[in-house]
Order: sequence, then C-alpha cells, then structure tokens
Amino acid sequence: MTEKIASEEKVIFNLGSEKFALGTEKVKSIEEMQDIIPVPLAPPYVTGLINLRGAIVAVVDLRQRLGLADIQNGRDMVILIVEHNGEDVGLIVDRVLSVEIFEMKSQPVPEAVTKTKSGRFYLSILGAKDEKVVILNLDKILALEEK
Amino acid sequence: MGHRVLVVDDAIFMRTMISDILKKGDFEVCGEGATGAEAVEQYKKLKPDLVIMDIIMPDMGGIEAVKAIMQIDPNARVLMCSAMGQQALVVEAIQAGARDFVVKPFQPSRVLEAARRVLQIS
Amino acid sequence: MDTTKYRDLFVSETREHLVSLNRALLALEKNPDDPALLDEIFRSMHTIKGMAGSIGQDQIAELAHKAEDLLDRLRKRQLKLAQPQVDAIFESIDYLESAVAELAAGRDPQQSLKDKGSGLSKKIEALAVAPQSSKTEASSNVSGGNDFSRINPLKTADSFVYKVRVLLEADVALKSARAFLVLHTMEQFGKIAYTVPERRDLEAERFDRGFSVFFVTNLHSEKEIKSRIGYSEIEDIEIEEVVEETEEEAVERRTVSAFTQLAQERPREVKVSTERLDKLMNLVGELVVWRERLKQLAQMSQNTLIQDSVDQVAQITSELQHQVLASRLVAMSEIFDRFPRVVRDAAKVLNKDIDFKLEGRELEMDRSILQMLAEPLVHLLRNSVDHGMETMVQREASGKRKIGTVTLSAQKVKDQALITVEDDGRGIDHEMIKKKAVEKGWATAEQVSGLSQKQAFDFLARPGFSTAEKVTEVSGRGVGLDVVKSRIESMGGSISIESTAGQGSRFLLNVPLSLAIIRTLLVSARKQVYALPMSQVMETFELKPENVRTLQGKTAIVYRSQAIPVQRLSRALKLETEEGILSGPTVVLERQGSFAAYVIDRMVGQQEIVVKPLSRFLNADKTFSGVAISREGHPMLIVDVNNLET
Repeated sequence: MTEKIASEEKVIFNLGSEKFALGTEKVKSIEEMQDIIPVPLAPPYVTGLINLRGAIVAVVDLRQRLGLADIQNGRDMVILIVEHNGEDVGLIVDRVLSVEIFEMKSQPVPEAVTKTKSGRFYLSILGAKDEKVVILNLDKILALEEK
Repeated sequence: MGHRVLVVDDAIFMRTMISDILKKGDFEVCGEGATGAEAVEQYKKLKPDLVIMDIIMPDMGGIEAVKAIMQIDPNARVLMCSAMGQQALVVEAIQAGARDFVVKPFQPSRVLEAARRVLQIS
Repeated sequence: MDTTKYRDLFVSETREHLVSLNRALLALEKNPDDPALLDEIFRSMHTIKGMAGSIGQDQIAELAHKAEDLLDRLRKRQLKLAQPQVDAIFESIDYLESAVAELAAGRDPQQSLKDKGSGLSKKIEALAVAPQSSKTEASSNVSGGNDFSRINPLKTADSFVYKVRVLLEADVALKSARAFLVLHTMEQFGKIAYTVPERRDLEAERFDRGFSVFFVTNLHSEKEIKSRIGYSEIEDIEIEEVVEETEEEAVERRTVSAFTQLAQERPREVKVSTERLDKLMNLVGELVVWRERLKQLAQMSQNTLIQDSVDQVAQITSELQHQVLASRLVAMSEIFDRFPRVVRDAAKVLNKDIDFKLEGRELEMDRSILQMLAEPLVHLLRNSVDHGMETMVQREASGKRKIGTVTLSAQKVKDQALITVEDDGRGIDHEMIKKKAVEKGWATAEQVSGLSQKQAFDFLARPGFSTAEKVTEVSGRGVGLDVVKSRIESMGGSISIESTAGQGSRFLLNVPLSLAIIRTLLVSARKQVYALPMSQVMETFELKPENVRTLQGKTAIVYRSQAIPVQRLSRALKLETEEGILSGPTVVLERQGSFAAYVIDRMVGQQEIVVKPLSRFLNADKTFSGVAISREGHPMLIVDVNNLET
C-alpha cells in the first residue's frame, strides 16, 4: 500500500472571502437562514436559538467565533447543523460552496498562524495560496471557555 | 508489468481519482470511458484484465454495460462502483455478472483490495 | 468482535441484572441463611457471564465466572458466607457497573479497566478456594441449533454440509449487497439451505456484521470454499463441517443461553431509546403549539365546518399527547433500587447501623424527571445518614433504638409526586437556624421571632447557609441544600422541611409526575417574549412613576407593606443599562421567600409550556431554567426567577 492519502468528503464554505471546510460526517444538515431568538447574557458568539422542527438548537456565529471581520452578507447565509457532544448546534456561514472529496494530504497549520485569534481553531490546511481551504477544529470552536 | 484496467465513470474527477489510486497500486490503466456504450466498445478493443465501472451513467448504464460485456466475454472481471443507498442496483449488477463492488466515497485501500481480489492476486 | 446491536442489549440487560444483584445481595447480608437469595444472585451472575462471553467481553465473563464459582460453593455450603465474600461480590458488581458504563460510552472496558478486572478476578478466585473443584464449563456459545429439516432435502450422496460464518469488516457500506455477493458466489458451487439471520433479514440489512450460511456442496475442502468466497471487505470467514446432532446434543441445545433467548424472543414490550421518546415528545409539543394556532384561526374564520374539524384534530392531538406522556413513564424503582446501596455504603463508612426502608417503588413518573431526581435524592439520603443520624453511642445515650431508620417514600398526591426522605435522627433545632440567620444578617431578631418553623427551615436551603469551614451538626443539614432546591424548582417542583429536635427530620419534595408542562405568564421585554413560571408570579399591576422610591441608591416600591426592589426586566437581563422613568406593566415575583418587581414592556398572555433543557452554551449563568416553543413557533426562554438579578 502507498502512504496514507486522506480521501475525505468535506463541506466547503465561505466566511468572507476565505474558504473553510468541515468533514461531511460532522454536518447533519444545512438549513436556511431563519429568525434567531437572541439569548440575553449568552456568550457574544452565540447568536441565539432556532426552532428546528420541534427541537431547539443554539446557533453560533462562526465568523464572530473566529474573530473575523464582520461583513454583512445576508443573502446566501445558511446554518450548518453539526452534532457535538450529543447536542445539535447551528453554525452560521456566509455561503456553502460545494461538497467535495479531497484526496490530497493536508498540511499542518504553520505555528505562526496557530497563535492568531482565528488560527487556534484551525485543524489543518488543504491546498495553497488562492485555492487554500482551512479545515476547522469543531471541538475547539464549540469548547466552552471558562469565564 | 501490472494488470491492465479499464476505468469507466462519467465524471472526470472520479476517473482521475480511480486511475491515480490504481497507478499507485501498480496497475496499468489501459483505457478510460465515460459511458456504458464506451465501456463496451473499449472492452472489445482493449480486452483488459479488469473493468472498474460506475453503476449509474448516462447513455448506457453500468448494469446494461455489465450484461453486454459478459456477452462478449463470459469470464470478464468487472468491479462496480456505487454510491451509498444503491443497494438494489448493486444486487442487480452482481446478478448480471459483476464480481465485486466498492462504495463511494472511496478509500484507496478498499479499491485496491477489491481489484486484487477480483483478479485473484494477493 | 464489535457487535453494537448486541452491545446495547447487553448493556441494558446487564444493568437490570446488576440492580437485582445489588438488591439481593443487600438482602443476603441481612439474611445470610436464605438459600433463595443465593440462588438469585448465582443466576444473575451466570446470565451475565453467558452474555458477556457471547459478545467477546472475556474479561467481564471471566470475572462473572469467578464470582459464579464462589457463589456456587456458598450455595453448596462448601464455604460459609462471611463479610469478605459479600464485600468482594459488591466490588464485582461495582466493577461490572463501570465496565457496562464504559461499553455504553463506546469504549472497551478490556482496555480501560484491564488491570482492575484481572485483579478482582484473582481476589475472588482466592476467596473461593475450597476443597474440591467444581465443574468449570466453557461459556455457552450462541450457535443455536442446526435445522436439519431444512438441510437434509438438499443433501446428495456425495455432498457435504458446512456452516460458514462470515464476518464483514466493521465499517462496511451496503452490507446487504455485500452479503448478497457472498451468497450469490456460494450458489455458484453449492446450495444454501438457510442462513442465520434469515435471508430476508440479510436483504433488509437486519444484521450486524456477521451471518452464518448453512451450505451443501460437493466440494470437500474448507480451504477451497474459503478462497472462493474470499471477497473484499470481509474480515473473517470460519468454516466448520456440520454433522446431524444426536439426541443428547439436542437436549443441550434446548437449554439455550439467556442471551440467545433475548436476541430471538419477540417481546411483548419493545424497548425504545430515550432519544426517540424525546423526539416524539418534541414533535407532539410542536403539534400542540400548532393546534393552538389552528384553533385561533378557526375561530377567526367563523366557519363552523372548519371549526368542527379543528376541534376533532384538537381532541386527537390531546389524546396523542397524553399517550406520548404515558409512554415515557417508568417506575420509581428504576432509581430507588440503587439507593439501598448508597445508604449502606454511607452508613458503613460512618460506622452507623441504618435500617433503610423504601416505599412506593411502583409509582410511575416521567423518565426525564426521574433522572433529574436521582442526584438530589442521593444528596438528601447521604445528608440524612451523615448529618441527620446520630452515632450509635449517642442514640443509645438518648434512649433511642441503636439502629437508625431512614425511609424514602413516594406517593401520588393529586397530579404530583410527593417524595419524602425521613429519618429518626437528631432533628433540626429551628431556633438554632433562626439564630444563624440573624448572624448572617438575613433577618433581624424581631423578624425571626415571628417566623413559623417551616419558614425558619427555608433558611437552610439558602445559598451560603452552610459555608462554614467546619460543618457542624446543625449547619451540615444545609450542605448542598440550595443546589437540591434549585434543581427541584427548575423541574417545577418544591421542597419543604419538617423537623422536631431530638426526634428526626423529614424532607418533602413535590414534583410533577409528568413531563414538565408548566403554566407560565408570557411577558415581553425589548421585543422578545419570556416565560415566567406562574407559581412564582405574585401579582401584576400598572406601576405609576410616583410610587417608585429610591432607597440607598436603588429603586424600590412598597409591596405588602414591605419595600421591595424594582427595575426593568430588560435591565435585569442586561439588555440595557439606562433606567429611565419606571412605569407601566409590572410583575411581582417571589424568589425564595422574598419579592422583587420587574417592569415589562407588555403582558403577552398565559400559556402551558413543555419545558426543554437549555443548550449547554447558554447554561452558564443560570438566568434561564429552560426553553419552550411559543404559539408562533419560536423558541422562548423560561426565566429562572431565583437567579434573576434584583
């Protein structure tokens, strides 16, 4: 057998102009943007709650969580429903681009990047330069921070 | 020299991926096709050791292509590619004469293992 | 071998056996001469052994086997029952519980609990040393019998019968197509008598990873057969030649292991995952919301045909809701039966002798409420044993029976469950509590003198009552009581305390029997609707600016001849910082005996709501106790009045 080639299916999406990805096995569904009920005293990156067919799901503003610039996009925004520690959580992203199977080796995140505000949420990087796709670390993004 | 394989899939992406996997596994990709009809044509011409073929394709589908190929060569070895949820089609392809199948998304090791099994090399 | 489907069955069945093991062993400790109890314990261990062996949990099987040996000797009176043995069996039960928990969490106890398991096995083996060794049979195999009525018709003079066991790889996709491929290939060189599971189950993917094929062929080479069906994504193939069984073997087969029975029996009751029950509950909750909406629309339409249909739908929906709620009911025994062990262990550590009584095990209540109750009850029981009960010496000195009594009972009172934890210990001196409350500055000496006993005991459950570094006999009773109280209240229940100094204490919990459907007052603040539990709403009125005073820099109003704080709800929720002039609709809320008023934007109405837990992201500061769905279908937060800023 040749060396390990990760062929994994990823959901690719935009936050601003940058491309990010999560493994399809982590994404339960993609939901249209809808009314989100804000929750007082919640962490700033938690936008609020939605009613997803009778189940109430907390929604996280992924852009804010990653500390990215706040650009109002609106039109193509969707909510990715992911499962984390047995709980469904929604992630707001600007646009879902595609679902693709990648068959290349991902590179580790350069150390300089891991120290940036958003870099600590990166798992690895696929491709280079313009075609760069950042694979996100869901566990870190959804970890509760001590106050 | 490795065994000669004909790769048939309507998506260039999938063909490229399968070919890459096969080449890394010491197989020779002797031809490619995008439809069932092309598969049958190529089979006649190339007489490959193995055909790896998608189950759903425009023009002539994978199952009909298996039947046509088996008519030409009852000992043809065909390995089907299927997506999740195509259980019934896979069963039909096996009845038509396909020797084994792999399920997308592919794990390279599974494709190679299946190819080697069908060709009875270890 | 990884067999998830069987694993879940194994987990739930073993847990049931562990509960009865615990109960029987506790009883045995009191009645060491009761042979029926030993038999029961022996049988449970035996069943666990068989099940564990069948799913490849050899370590559990090994331990259960050793325990079974020990029990067998006790049963045959080759050994005398003594404390070390009882303790060792308790210890094995604990080990089995943690092993099962590991399994349930998807981990392999053979890895995570390896050393513990083998150490315990050796310990038990040593305890079981007895003159003669009894039979040690291998754990029974889940092979089932071979059905020759289906095999024989296919046999010919030169054919052979094989049982071929195929194990697919763990993450194989399109399992039934993979199984079909194997069967299809086998049919090229032989005939298939039948398969286990049956072929239709294989086709419908009703199998885990393995299946067996009873196969008649002229090939007489296991190796050849194996190589012909050696397809990809197959982990293992086992082939054995099958010969018709003798009468003796047939008899043995009839004593099928409990596990096989379990897997094959068609039970009258179906086990439904709690997840599915929760989903059903969600959907019904949603349906009820839409029913309300539909009713409104029907009324507006003034069309009697529509109204009649809606009434019908409404009735069916109510019945459906009722049935779903009923399907979630489980008996108290589900958690109660764990408690004798809790009390025994706590008493043992403290060297106290306690007679623990359980009443009302059969009372049924909603599964999720019951689960939430477990922790507070453990706390109250421990408190009773730890702080409530005197030492044996003290009891004797005060002329009491040396053995203390702790009683846990459950009964139905109206549509609520009344659960009491009662002890005949030293009781609580309410005068002492009053004194402490004054020390804490919670009340003045004059105020407390007018308080009833019951009101005095409420201080016990206040956060901070028992923060004293050294837990004294009195303050000890308050430890964690604030947590217990807020937990009970978040379920829509209440707690009260009764006690007579010197004679004992009683903690009374009132909790809903059925899933938290609570009556709420809906109010809006900053355009959002919030739900306030009706049980804590004292009054609503229109506040006039001239009635607001400022006391020590805080705004207040007079309510029941008492100054109480007032502010905007939106400010308490940190939605704004400006106070402005306070006026408009106002609610007075009761919070642990005191009152606070909140000015709101508007009264929205009243609604019965099904309480759902809040996402853990939002649970940090406990301002909200849960969430529900509004009539319009939006999430709606339920304010935890006790934690709302005043």
